[in-house]
Amino acid sequence: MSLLIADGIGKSFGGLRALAGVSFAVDEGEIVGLMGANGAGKTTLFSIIAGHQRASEGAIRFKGASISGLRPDQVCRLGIARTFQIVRPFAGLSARDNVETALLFGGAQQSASAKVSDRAMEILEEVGLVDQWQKPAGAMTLSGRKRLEVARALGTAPELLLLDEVMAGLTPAEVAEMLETLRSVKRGYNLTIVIIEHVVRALVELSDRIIVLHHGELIAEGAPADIAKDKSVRAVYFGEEDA
Amino acid sequence: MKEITRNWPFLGCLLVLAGAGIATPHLFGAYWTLVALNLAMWIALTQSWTLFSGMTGYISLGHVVFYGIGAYVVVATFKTVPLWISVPMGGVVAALFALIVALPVLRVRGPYFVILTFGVAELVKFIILNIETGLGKSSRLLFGAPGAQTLLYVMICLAIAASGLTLFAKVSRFGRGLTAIREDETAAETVGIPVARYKVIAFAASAAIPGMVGGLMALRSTYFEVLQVFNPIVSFTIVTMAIIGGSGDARGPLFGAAFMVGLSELLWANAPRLYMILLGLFLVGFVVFAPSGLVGLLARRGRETSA
Repeated sequence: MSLLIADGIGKSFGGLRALAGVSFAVDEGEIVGLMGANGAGKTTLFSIIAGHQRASEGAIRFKGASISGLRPDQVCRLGIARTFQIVRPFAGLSARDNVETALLFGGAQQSASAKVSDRAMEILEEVGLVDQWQKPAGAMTLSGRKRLEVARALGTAPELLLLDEVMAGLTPAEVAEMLETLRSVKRGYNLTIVIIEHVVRALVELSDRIIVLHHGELIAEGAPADIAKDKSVRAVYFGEEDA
Repeated sequence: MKEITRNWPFLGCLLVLAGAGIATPHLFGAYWTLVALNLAMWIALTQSWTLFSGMTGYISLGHVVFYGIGAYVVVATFKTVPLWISVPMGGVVAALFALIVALPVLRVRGPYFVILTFGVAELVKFIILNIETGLGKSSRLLFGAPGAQTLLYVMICLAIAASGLTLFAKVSRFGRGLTAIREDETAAETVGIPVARYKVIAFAASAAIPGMVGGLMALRSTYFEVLQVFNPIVSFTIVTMAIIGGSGDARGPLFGAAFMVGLSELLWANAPRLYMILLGLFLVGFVVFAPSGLVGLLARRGRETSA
């Protein structure tokens, strides 16, 4: 069954068309990679799904019901979590407090304070930040803050996780660790994931299916191996002539 | 509840202050009763300000508007509505006013919000000034207002209520939401915090007690003059006390208010100009050298001596 359906999504900023007629579906348990050059509309698509921006055309359906027009906090409580390309931790709060906030307000809505702390530590353990739980988020390394983005998203008890370049700017070793983390949390939480990534190798390795956006339009969709052979994708990425 | 009891030093401090305040009229006479009233007033105002501005990071430079509205409600209904109704009503009207202006005002952040709150306060001041002029009243005298001791006791209740409210906000889920909004509003809504609703509720809650304080202080001066009651110096003083106290939670206002009321007692009568100069120096000094205020300084001192 499709967990998420984007139906003809269009978005214009004044005269600029950021997205036009983008339709796709994401099945439960899938990992879908979202590829495309800078400015292709990937992050705008995430913002529309998460409720930060409103689509000019089309609708988003989650578990069969339309979520277009809902606020980000409402979308979050329905079970969609997102991370930010440019990380947005609660910089003055400790790593644990960051995750606790998500636990208190997200889909989990936990209330017993002792449980919340324990649960936050479990999540930090899963993303490999448990030894830094006291550290203010603002004092962490980029790799740490990217992990914290994931931890905080997990804290909201999502079914669908939207990951926006959680591996950009990391060293190859850190990328490998992050891939391992993502695989294990996906299994542990039974998650469906849509992931934007410029580290193409990581994307190919992780995804079940890849969607390619170019100038706001969906130009290709398929298994990672097929995408690499796709003519229109090659044309966009390598400038090859259509045969 | 556990978080509340963990704050026992703060609660103890508050109880001692309240006890001293209640004893003042009996032990130290009329002059010190007024000083205590003054202190309780500033604690109530600064705590209320902290509840919103300290927690959310939206710095209000117009809190005098709630004080003024409360005063105006009490003065306008004086001798027609009993005080035990009109003073709380001043708080209710101030909170309602906050609710109404919150939606447009809370759309802007940072320096724009600061200027806007200041502007709204000035706007209301001149609207009420015009109403009063239209009614042919340049100022009003209140005969038969309650005495300073009664006002002091009510004011102490307000100071405790405001302190309790801010303490509760800090340790509650609500406060966790406000703190997240201060840190990053977009991230806050992404983890499920209804940011617009939280900001509006906090803004209204932070207006209610200043409204009642304004009503009491109108009774204290037995004289109502719009430009004086809506004087922006009140807003500035609240912010100054909050900065000098520091902390962004319920402890700061106690220190900030006590420090400044003490300073004004020392200097006001003998060297009023020196007082204003020192006020400016302290404000600059704290912002530059001790941005976490007296609470921050004391906490650092405590760590150094225990280490």
